[in-house]
Amino acid sequence: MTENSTPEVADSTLEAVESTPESLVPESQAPARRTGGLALRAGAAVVVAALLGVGIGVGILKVKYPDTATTAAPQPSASAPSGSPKPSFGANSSGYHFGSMRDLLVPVPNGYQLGPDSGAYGNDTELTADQRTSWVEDAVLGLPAKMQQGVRDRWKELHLRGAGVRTFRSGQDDLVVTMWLVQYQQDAVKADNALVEALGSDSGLFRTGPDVPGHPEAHCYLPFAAPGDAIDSLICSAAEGDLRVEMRVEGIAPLPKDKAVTLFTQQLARLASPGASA
Amino acid sequence: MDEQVTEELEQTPEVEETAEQEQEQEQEQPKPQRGRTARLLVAALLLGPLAGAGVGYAVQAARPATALPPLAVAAPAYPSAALDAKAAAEAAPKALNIDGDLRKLLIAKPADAESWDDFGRGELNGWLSVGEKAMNYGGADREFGRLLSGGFRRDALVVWKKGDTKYEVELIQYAAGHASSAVDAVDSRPSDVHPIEGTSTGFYSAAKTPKTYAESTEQYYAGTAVAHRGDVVMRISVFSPNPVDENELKDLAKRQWERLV
Repeated sequence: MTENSTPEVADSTLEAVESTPESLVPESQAPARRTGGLALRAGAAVVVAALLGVGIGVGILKVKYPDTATTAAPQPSASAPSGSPKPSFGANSSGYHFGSMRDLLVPVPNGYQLGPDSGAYGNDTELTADQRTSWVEDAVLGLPAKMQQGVRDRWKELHLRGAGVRTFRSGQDDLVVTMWLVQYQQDAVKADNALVEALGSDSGLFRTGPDVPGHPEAHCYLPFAAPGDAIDSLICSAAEGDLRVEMRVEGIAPLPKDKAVTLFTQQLARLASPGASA
Repeated sequence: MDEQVTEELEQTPEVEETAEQEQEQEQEQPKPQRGRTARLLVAALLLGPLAGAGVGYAVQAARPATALPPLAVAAPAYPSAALDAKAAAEAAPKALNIDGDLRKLLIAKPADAESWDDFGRGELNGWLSVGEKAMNYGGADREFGRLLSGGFRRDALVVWKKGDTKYEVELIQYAAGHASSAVDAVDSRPSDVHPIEGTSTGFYSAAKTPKTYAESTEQYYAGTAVAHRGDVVMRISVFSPNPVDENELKDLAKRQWERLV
């Protein structure tokens, strides 16, 4: 165990970064490691991806939101046509969603089954109050230490009312989709979604993703990937009233983006306001 | 025929008349006698069982009834009060710790270790997604499909580095019904292995010869420790420019295993 000096480590990393020939891939399952392709940019992408996940920015943190959303909230489906049976989930015209998160999440479609767990939260879960607290802690983990307390305070202020996750895996085992719904103040949801759009298009760390037909407020981005990477990923974000919808896709390259966008469209249609229960 | 013969023989010529009379008597008398016997026998045959059944019935009916044996099982009883949900939940068996947050079961990063980015994949929140995990191997696309069809559920990890030696400790869990994937993970082993104390199949091994990273010419010495508990695989991987210290690996494996038991 010789303690080598740090500069040497940095040098070897750089060398490894520069010398990643695609030709020498041993076509076996041997646990031979890749020497992290382009570690620096990937590292930056990781931090930005974390920002996307939380959907915050320093500017957002300072914005004060009027408390209209929460006061309007607790009257579910006031606009529902009288006489018809009241749906157990859906949205009202003010954008407030009611019902279980697991009902609001798009059901597993044909050709898919439930996928791997999303970390500690399972693959088909409505988060409890305790889980929502730990969700905030998880969101904070990847951030620079200076920002962490600010993010915690922000979530406390925003009244994280609900969260749910469902994951999907394609029948061909080539695609995994993780769909998150996070419920908090409408204005903040909207602002977060706009921030995601700005980061996705202006930061230069992402490739522009596919459009979501019929939903101009939804945006998709592909995180940075080295050329020739066998696995690609995609992030889509949208704001539906008081719900922020985030879809993360991982799959074998080339990613079947149309399949992912179809699933995202189905999810947004389910949350459409008002009366999403059809 | 024989009877007729004997009768004729008995009819001696000395007394023909008496013989004739006797013959008439014999012919008249035996007929009704035989018919009566037969009828008597038939009647006895029919009446006997009837009478027997009647008597038997009477005897049995006169006896006192035998009491039924008690039920083998206690009769179901219903609680009169409503069940206290809280108390019932507390009395229910606790969830297994391997079904909770796996990150809490990982050993801690040593105090003197530096942080490491896990080959550029970062250590964002302590979880490795299926895509990120597949990317750690050459032939990532096939690895991705293999993990999913094997029932990959989640992978919690902690990584660090000491000098040029990199450490990765993972707890890989497979979905219900895919525990065989966890067993298989321990089955594929290098040739020179030592058992991990307290496990049935777990092993640790420090390679004597270097390997080459995928998509690179850089060489490394591998140290591996693998064991499984139910559907969770514990995997410790050490990557070093020098041969890996076996005793250190053994100690890591032992400490991580103790947290799973």
